Amino acid sequence: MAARHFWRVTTSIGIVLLLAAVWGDRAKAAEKPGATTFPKTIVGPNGQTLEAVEIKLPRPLFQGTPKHIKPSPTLEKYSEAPRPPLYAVPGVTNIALNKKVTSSDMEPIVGELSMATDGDKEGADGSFVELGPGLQWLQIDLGKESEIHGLCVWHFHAEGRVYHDVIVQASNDPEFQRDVVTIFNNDFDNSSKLGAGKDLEYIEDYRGKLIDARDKQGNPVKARYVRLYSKGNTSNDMNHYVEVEVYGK
Amino acid sequence: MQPLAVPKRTHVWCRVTTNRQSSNPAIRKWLVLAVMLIAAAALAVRLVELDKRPMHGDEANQAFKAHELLASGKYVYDRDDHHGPTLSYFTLPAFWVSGCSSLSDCREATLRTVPVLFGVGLIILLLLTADGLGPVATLAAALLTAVSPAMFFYSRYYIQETLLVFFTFALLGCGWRYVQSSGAALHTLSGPPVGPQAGHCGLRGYCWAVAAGVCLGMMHATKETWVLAALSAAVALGVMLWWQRSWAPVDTPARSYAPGERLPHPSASAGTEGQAAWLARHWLPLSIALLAACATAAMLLSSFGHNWRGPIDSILAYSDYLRRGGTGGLHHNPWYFYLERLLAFRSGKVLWSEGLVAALAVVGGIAAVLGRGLAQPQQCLGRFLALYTLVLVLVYSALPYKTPWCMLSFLHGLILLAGVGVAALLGWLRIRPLQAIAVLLILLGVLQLAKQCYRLNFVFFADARNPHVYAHPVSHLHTDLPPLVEGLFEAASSRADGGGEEPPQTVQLGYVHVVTTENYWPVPWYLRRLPQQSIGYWQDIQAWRTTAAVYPQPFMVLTTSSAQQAVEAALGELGWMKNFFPLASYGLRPGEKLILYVREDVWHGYRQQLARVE
Repeated sequence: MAARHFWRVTTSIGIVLLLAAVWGDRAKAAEKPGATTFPKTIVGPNGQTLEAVEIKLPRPLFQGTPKHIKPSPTLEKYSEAPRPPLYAVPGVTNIALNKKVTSSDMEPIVGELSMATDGDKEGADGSFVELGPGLQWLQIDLGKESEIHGLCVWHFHAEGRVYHDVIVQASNDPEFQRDVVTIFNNDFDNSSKLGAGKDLEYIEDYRGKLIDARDKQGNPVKARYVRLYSKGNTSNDMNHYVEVEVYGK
Repeated sequence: MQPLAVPKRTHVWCRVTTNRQSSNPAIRKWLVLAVMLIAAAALAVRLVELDKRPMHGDEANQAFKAHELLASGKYVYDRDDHHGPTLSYFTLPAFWVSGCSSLSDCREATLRTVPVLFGVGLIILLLLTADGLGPVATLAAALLTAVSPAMFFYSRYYIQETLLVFFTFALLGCGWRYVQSSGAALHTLSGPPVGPQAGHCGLRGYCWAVAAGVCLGMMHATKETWVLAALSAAVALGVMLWWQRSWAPVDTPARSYAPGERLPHPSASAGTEGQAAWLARHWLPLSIALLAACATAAMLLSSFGHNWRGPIDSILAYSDYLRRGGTGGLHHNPWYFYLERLLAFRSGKVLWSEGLVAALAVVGGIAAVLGRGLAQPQQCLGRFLALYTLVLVLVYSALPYKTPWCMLSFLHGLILLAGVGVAALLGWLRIRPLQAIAVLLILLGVLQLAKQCYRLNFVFFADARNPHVYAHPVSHLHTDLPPLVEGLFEAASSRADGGGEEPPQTVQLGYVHVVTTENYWPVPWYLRRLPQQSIGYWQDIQAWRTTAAVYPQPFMVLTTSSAQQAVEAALGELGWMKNFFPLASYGLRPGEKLILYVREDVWHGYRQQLARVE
């Protein structure tokens, strides 16, 4: 009798612990990089089905909100909440992977330019390229004119920092002299002389900065080249790129 | 009749005889033309985009000192820093020519034109020593001075270094001319006078002696490190004298004397006349030179009699400089700091080197010491330059205090020696095709140096990969900070005018507060267009907190990253933190950011103003 009672109690405790573990694991999984509670597909503005573009996130290299960066009206409020995915028409993938990269600084201080499109987003030493100080750009040649729906850029995510004058442009002209479309611009005082931007500065983390390249009607940008500018950051004067992914087809 | 053979020693360190190549009028004419052409080309390229690089803290500091002189007519020598007044005095013509009456309408290019002219002047000064160096060495040295990356870079830098090197070389050049005009060295090294002018210091000799004295005074009035150059020159001269007395009879070949040619005095071979006798013969021109040096230095350091404390302080300053030089402080760098920057400085994938200059200088030094492939005056001058440069390199490398521009002093010696090296090399290679190949290779090296000049000054002009960029602000400080600060100030001022706040022009305490415990230069330069009575500078954060509490909130607070926490804490204590936010940051020096805090309402006013403009 006592043995039966013992087994009953033990089994009950075991089941409770098991359920708690499964629930806890699910809750934890929801916080993990890439985990999402967002639907995998949605209906777009034109009635077409849009799929969430799969973005594999690296492991976080720091935790919590960076305390040393003070809030400001020019800075996006930092949130650890899951980020909505980029929804795009089926077939949209990272078309920048292993594509040719050029830069205003062809002799990087650290790393190689190709590191920006090599698929390694870990952010540790040896996985980023460091360009010189001041306004610098990095340009990706997609090989042919492509439909660009969005892009994600990881400048540096080993610590929370803010890069200044982040400007993303696309064009079919490798010199960016004509037919230039500005996708993102947070140069609030037009100090980079590429036009004053309305976008906010943001704190870098493992999720990178996901940028929707489409216009208000949902039309993608058609271009062969993507150019990303930056002008130093809150920690130092250099410009870094761990990875740039361009989502299109 | 057989010509008499006597030791050639009687002509070491001697005057250049009239049949030397560089004394040939045709060659001299072409040499002068070539040197002037090189100088003109050097000037043209050095003047390009002088505003491109932001002001270094030291440059900005000097700019304020020069402006102070312009405004008050006085230069008050500060023994703690700032150095001597020559840079400020030579900037006055630049101010007048450009029409600058205040700093607010003064550009970086106006100021930097001054060292550019002195940098180019170094090329022209070569004509003073052309008969000693010879035409090939003079041309080579002119070309290398023009394309030496360090010379190029720092001749566009508004600090004293280029002026110091200029006056040092001018001293050596005038000294050399004095020797030529008086035959002075003959007495020292070879006994009593020989030759028609020997022993007589004519008017020309006195003029050169006075000119040398003025140059020495200018060195003193330029920068305290002049003593190192003067010491090196003295040591080199001393060793030269000892060397000639000890070794010359053994290692110098005999020469023939034509019939009728005046023979040296019999005591010449013994080399018995010492420094004392030499001084006894030349005490008057030397005394006049020394007097000229003291008068020049005193005149400038006292600001033409306005501040007699200046000359005294310029001597007392050495107690500070000895301490600083001995410890190095912030600028404590390893012994190889200069050599690394000069010979092989690698940062990332970029390699910089003035190896060509160094290699040719070694060739020149060896040729001068061995006495092969060089004419007598070249040997003498080459030996002097080799010793002078060696001592300078050793002294500068031994001192823990090192800033990269200090290497200009010995780099110039290396360049002169490199010129001697080129002449020696071409002398050794007697076959024309070999000489042509050597010239071609040297010219390729010169092209490589020129390319480095371009990249260092116009691509990596404020980049840590540049070996000459040291404790320098970020490349866009000058293009980004002033428009933003001035825009914010304008927006705030217009709001203050309309909103009943007291206009900033009438208040005595700043509406822009610069608060940091660190060196905040060159920030004042970039705030120079704002009403100066509206700016306050504090280097004591607690003092600022106490003072600022009495007054209205400033529009902006500028601080540096190392003082940021303390300033934020003080802002919190003042109850201002909720109104201020960090808007922008700029690299002031490696590891030190300049952070601009702006008042939120000022920011909104600025945004509205921007929106109206758009």
